[in-house]
Amino acid sequence: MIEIRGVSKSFMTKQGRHYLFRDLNLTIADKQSVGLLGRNGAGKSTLLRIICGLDEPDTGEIVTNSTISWPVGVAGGFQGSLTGRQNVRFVCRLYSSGDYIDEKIRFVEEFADIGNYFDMPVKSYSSGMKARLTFGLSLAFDFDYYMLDEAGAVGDAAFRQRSEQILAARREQAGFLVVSHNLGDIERNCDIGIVLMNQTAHVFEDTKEAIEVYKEHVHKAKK
Amino acid sequence: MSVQLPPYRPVKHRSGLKVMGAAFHALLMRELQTRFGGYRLGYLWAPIEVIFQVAIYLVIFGAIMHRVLPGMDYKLFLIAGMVPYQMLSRIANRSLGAVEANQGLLMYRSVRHIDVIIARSFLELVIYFFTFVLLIGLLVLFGAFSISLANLHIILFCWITLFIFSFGLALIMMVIGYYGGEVSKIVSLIFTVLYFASGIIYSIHIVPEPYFSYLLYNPFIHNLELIRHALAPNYPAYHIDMGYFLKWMVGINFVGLLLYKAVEKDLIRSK
Repeated sequence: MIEIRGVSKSFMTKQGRHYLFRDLNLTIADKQSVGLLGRNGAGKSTLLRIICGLDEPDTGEIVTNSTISWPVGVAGGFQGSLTGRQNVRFVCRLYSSGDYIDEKIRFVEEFADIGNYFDMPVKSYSSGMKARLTFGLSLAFDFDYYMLDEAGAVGDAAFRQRSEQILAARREQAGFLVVSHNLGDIERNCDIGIVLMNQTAHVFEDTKEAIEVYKEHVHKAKK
Repeated sequence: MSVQLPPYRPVKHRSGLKVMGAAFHALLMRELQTRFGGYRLGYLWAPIEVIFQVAIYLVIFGAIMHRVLPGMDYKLFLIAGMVPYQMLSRIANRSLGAVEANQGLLMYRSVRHIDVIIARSFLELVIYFFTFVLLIGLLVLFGAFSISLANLHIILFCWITLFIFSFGLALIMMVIGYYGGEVSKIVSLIFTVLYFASGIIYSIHIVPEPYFSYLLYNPFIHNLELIRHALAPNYPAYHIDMGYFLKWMVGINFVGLLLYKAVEKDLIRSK
């Protein structure tokens, strides 16, 4: 379970303090898949970072006893001059004990399926290849929660199919927090929807409803 | 084609020390690969850099120092002072920009700023200590000078305490570098001054009183001079006060850790 208690986060801008959200309270149950919706700049990624412990809120706290992945984005925090294998090994060393590193690496290699590039410096990768690698890497570990920030929405048909399969298997054991602008994905795969708007979070038990509200909100903002 | 997930092994809750140990190991290996993977001469760059500097000073000051240096060969004198000092200044200077440079690494929660500092500092220790042993070993082998082997434990002690000192300094530098803005430019200047005020290229014994006593307020001098005395027992030791250096070491680490603990959360807060 992840409990978000009274979290506020703001940024200082030249026009004054800009609040992303004020006094946010949420509870994410075990093995729950949550779709996070909101306009660009609504604070979706920041919220993920705060939950992951990579950013500090102004006030409030995250209470959890679960293991949480890093925010899996499209780029990944890879060191460009190292090969994909070296980068993967680095993360394995952080999260896994030595005996299991090889099986993790083998999985990432098969999953990302980038051929010889796996042993070439990451700076020679295309953005699609990087995204495949970072997505595969996060799925190699058995976290209680995965934080996906527009991750996995890349690659060819075969890769997508593989992703769906692995994600389906993961959903049996773990919770997800998904940021995506692909509304179809969220509707299909998530149990509940959360819309970040007007500096607070609106929780909807039905993802369809969340998507409706989100669409209306975006539409209104346009006018 | 379907891919099989590896067997289910949940990511475990570990004690803080275990997490830190794993982070240290992972970062150290990564630094090793990053630092030297790209260059053909690899690990040899650190010794080459030192050899180059030693050669320059030998040409400029060799003749003079040969006459005034008490009880020690000038080449040995240079290496014994320069290599440890370079370790210190490398560790401290690299920490100035550490917070920004570490951003990419900190997306993994188990990596904290202090882990990166520890890993990088430790790597510098290994590189420069290796340089030290290699250079002195080679020059002794070729008969450039001879050293005393009676006090190797003292040399090791000096290196380790200097490393601990550097670590505390690195923590302070990291905080200064993050909040200081232009102050960090001044810090680089101070290090240049310290280079000349630490008796690296000249022996402080040629400095007259009262300036000689002033120089002894610089803690590094005591450490570096002790290394020299240990390598060449004829080199005078009456002015060395290792206790003074150790007090600095404890003080610097105390302040460094305190500062780090105070701003740890603020360092990762986006503003």
